[in-house]
Amino acid sequence: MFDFIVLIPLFPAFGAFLNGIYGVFRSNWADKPSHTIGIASIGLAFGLMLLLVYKMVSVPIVLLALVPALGAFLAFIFGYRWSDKLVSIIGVGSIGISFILSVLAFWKLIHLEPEARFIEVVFYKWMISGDLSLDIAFLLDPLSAVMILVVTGVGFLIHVYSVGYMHNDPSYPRFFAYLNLFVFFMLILVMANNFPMMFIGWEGVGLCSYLLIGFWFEDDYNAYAGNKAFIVNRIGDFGFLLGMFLIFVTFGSLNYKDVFETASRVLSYNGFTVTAITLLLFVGATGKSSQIPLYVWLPDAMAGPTPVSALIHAATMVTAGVYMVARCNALYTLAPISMAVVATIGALTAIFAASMGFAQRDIKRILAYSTISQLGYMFLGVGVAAFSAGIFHLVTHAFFKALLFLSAGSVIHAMGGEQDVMKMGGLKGHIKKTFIVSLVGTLAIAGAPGLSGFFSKDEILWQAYSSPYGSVFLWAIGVITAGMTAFYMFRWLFLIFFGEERMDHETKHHIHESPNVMLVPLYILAFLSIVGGYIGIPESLGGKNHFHHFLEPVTRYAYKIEGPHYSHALEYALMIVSVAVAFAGFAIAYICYVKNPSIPVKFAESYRNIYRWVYNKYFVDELYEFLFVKGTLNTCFGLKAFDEKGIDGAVNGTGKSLYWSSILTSKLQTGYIYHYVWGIVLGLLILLF
Amino acid sequence: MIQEYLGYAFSFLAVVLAISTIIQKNPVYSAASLIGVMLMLACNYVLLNAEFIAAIQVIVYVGAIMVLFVFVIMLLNIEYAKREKLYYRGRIFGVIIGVALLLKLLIVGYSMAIKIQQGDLPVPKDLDSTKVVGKYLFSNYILPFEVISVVLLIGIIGAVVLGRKERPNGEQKEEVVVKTIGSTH
Amino acid sequence: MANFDFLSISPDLVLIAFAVLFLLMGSFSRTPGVHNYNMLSISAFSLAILFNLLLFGSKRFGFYDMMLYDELAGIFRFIFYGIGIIVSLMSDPYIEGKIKHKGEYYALIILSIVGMSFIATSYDLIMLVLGVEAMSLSVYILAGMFKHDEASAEASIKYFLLGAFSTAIMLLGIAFVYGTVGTTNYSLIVQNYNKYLHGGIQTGIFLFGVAAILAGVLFKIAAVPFHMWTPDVYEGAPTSVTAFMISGVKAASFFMLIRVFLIALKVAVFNFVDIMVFISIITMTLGNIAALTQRNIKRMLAYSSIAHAGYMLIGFVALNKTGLAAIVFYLIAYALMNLGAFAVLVLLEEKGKDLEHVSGCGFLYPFLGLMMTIFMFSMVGLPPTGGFMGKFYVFKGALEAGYLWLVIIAVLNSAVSAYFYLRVLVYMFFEKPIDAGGALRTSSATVTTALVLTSVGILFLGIFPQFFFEITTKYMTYLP
Repeated sequence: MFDFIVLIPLFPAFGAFLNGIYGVFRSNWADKPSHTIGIASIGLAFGLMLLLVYKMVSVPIVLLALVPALGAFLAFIFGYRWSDKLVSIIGVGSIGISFILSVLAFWKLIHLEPEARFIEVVFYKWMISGDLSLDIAFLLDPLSAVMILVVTGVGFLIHVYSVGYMHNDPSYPRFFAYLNLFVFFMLILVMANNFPMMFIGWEGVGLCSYLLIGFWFEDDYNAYAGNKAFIVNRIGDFGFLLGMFLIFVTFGSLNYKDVFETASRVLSYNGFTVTAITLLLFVGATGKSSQIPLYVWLPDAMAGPTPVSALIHAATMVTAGVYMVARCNALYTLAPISMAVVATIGALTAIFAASMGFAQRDIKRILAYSTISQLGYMFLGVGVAAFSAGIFHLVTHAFFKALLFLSAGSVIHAMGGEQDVMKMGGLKGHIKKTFIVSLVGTLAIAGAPGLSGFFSKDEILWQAYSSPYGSVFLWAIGVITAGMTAFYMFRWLFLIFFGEERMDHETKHHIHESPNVMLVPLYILAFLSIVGGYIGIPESLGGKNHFHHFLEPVTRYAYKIEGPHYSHALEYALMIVSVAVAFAGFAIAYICYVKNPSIPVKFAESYRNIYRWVYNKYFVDELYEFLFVKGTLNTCFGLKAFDEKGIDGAVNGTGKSLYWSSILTSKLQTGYIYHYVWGIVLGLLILLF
Repeated sequence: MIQEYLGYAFSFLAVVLAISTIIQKNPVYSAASLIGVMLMLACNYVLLNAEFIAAIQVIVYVGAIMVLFVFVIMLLNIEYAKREKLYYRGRIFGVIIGVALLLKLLIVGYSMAIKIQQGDLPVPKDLDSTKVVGKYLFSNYILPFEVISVVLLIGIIGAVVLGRKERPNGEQKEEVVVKTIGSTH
Repeated sequence: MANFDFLSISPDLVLIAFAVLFLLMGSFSRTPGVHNYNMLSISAFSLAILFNLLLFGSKRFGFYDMMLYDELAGIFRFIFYGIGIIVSLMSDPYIEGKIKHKGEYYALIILSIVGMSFIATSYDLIMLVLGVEAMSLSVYILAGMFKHDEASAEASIKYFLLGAFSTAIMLLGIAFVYGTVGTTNYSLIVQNYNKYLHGGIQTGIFLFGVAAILAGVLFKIAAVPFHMWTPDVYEGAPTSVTAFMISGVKAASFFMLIRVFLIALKVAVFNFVDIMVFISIITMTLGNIAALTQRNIKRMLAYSSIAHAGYMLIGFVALNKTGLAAIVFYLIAYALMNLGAFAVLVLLEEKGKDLEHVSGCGFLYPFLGLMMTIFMFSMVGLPPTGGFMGKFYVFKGALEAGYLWLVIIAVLNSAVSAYFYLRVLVYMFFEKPIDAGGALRTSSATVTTALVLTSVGILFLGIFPQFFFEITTKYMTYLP
């Protein structure tokens, strides 16, 4: 009865396919009716392939997948030309159908017994060799159900928003093709029931992220940013791959079920193998989820279109690392050292990135650092074995951060492309609707009591204090970060919407509210940012914490340590402290940027060095550049000295040695035949000895 | 016993002549040395009671191939080959691996006591070697014998295709001929 | 056993007949342009496939045990003939106007494949050598077919001289083997080894012979340090010929490795495993590293073919059923992706041969861009392509044999390789087009057919690998 869940990722794939084909061939097919035939036949072929691929699934569902192909046929018959409108319908519609199916799956899932909420649907056997059987199979359990709801739900809203935002872009179909493809890979990532499939999704989302960051590749900087993201992620992916190999060598299987069920028997608590596996996997997570030390790509990734930042670099892809750690809870809980590493890295990233957000001027970069910081929170949560809290924060963060990014997009739209917050100000009166939703988002992320961010953040902080893996230091860092978050987020809000109007007249004249197609998703996200937290009200506040109980089956194989029990009173006290700190952050921001805007300027002047450090992001980019790039003949990270193309320089962190050995090996190729003969004789000698 | 010593002598001469082939500066001398090598090998075949192979060796290599070589050299009128210059780069390395290979061969040869195995194919006592070769060529080795014809065919194609002089405007000339023929009618 | 089993060589007989027909057409036809040579060539290969299909499934010795036709040989014949078809498809628009002797061109391709086919069915070292010679000689000539192109002539002469040298070494090895065991027949070698030598004092000489044969085979495979000819020859030869060499010759050479060393010389193969591990590592590492800085796409693909040979050698090192079957699977995927990539290059070559010259072609010629994306993804080894599955099976074989560290090195290598493969795509899609070169003839129906065939094949191998892998595993009966 759950067979239909395989369609959830297939619809986005289908949309990506159709739009991609159209995007690529559009210029060739300009206004020729014949292209519809091409599209329709390709669509039909795709549909038929689906049919062939899973004969096992009931036929009507496959017919459903044929509907778009049929639509294209009908469109041809009625003389309908392929247009951007159809692109939107396919792009948004496919995600919409996926969302509906996800809700259906979720609905059916919660009507099962909690123990039975683990459903595997085998799409087809990809390969069987020996004892290893690798299926294209999907897993539906509470964790993946939550994830697919977030991915398709938030994804759907962002798709709708994109229809307005990307309006009139010359590469409109290509954009939707990439975006759909991204959703497809993200769904594969979260719905996989084995590590290789997760890895496919993992690589796929990285690829789409790369393509979308460099979407406007005509600008060299964007291509550079895309490359940076791609290369940094490759480093992480390599760790993930090694971790996967180690799992295979240890368990002889890569299926979640086999691995997690047997984990406590095969591996010893705090053993070397499990620590190595989990740390390697975590290296992958630091790359994908932009944690120390591999966080450098995310701020540059803001070069992509704003919906991309909202979908990929805030709501979904960057949370993949958190999801992965939560998914592997059975392994992580066996390795306390890894847990400590995860929690520490999370906490450090949280505070570090928050401090970097203080002095940024770009409207989206501030949000990017905020995302890094919030991801740090999530890792702090999963690092102290509060897996449901981490996922809870993931969900609420998806709501309010998508909201904030889309609001920022709306502001940029209103300002005609201006992204510097120092050139904004006083927009409150001009774009009131955007202001209100931004305010909601800011309040939510700052942890204002009653909004979604409050509940999830507070649960993480409480767990950081009370969990057997936690400590008071982690809690303290978390609380300080909460205050910093409140400060820089309100700084962001105040600089944009309050104070004097710092833009020039031309821009001011053109300020306009965004169309409804962009605003409606904002309203929905704002609504979710407010009420999203009520699915997990902690017991101390009289709630039932439904979310936690819903996710409980996921951690059934986790290694459990009894921690000390604390009273509700302490929980209240900590809660009050964190709220107070957040309020203090708000107050400081209010004083600095609304009451008395001269304070920050004075601060920057009197502590110029500190300001410079923060403004330049502690020179980490420069440090990396120095370590890996300058020392590597400018071959890394696209310094254009090596080759003006940017991409050419980007070999990787060890670029120099590879580059020189490459030159050297090419030098060996002298072109003289007798040198080649020596090579043969040398080889013969090697074989003889 | 005397046969064995003769064999060593011929082999030694063959090696000397082979070295001479390489180090001679005049290509004609080189070719002549190579002829010598072939002849020495033929002598060895005779000692091994393989008269047919020996005869073929002389006829094919000495009689045909080497003569062709010499003709080519004479026609091209190659003077002293400029070997020093050509073989200069990294000569030491070449010498080292050459010597290493030689040493390895010597070590293998002397430590392992070469003893040639009697072949699996029976050699009838009443036939001479020419007849034996003929018999096996048309029975056991019929397929390789035929496949060789394919290899030779390829060689011929190669000689024709690569050797034929190709005028860049060859086709044009043909057309002109056709046109003139056409105009007479 | 005078078993003149003409049926088992019937595909080769058909091909030889067609080759002669081509030669006659070349000499008797006044107007060579009007003939559809490639269609004739395709029908020749189709006929050969048909005959092979009739034979497939049987196991037959023939011609005084000179040859053995078994299922694996049948599979390889299918591979060779398939390569022949695709090469014929992509050749015609490319050599048009550049090669006068079109009949000879196709005749040589056919005869070369006949040579490969004889390698596949050889059961005697003599047949093996003849097959290798027929295959190689044709390719030497094909490489020099562009007579007005200096690079082509250079490639031809280099390949010929070095090839002759390596063949000489191989023949020396065969002489040593014959000297110690007194036979060249595959099964008798094993028998006599057990009878006469079996670790005795002369085993060293036998091993010397085996090493020399291995050197000859590794030369054809282009393993480091026997690889030196590869970049020059692959770059200089006409592109369609390079595609043929890189897929066909490589496949035949790997089959030679499997067949000779796991049937005839299996008694000695374990002596070389350690060295093969070493060779495999340096082969893939050197191939990948050298490819990093290449700007000529053909040369880059030449180095990449060296790297792929390194990956495939891992399967040989593993020496278990999975690893060996994986080589066959990998070879199929490898042949398809290289043929495809070269078919794209055949069309793009009018623009130029360097990376800069393909700038922006991805959007100018979307079909070619799409195809190149598939082939490059397969080369990197990204799912869902055949290249990924090939690597996966090879690595799995190595893991089963306990070579974890070897697999780690290989994975590192393929991570490096992503850079230069994807760079082609970056140039195709993310660079502004340059104006050099005229309009391309991108609508050649035959090349399009070749592209569709190869890309569909690669995706099929990647999405339904089970089908092929089961076949290859089932018929991989050569085990040490």
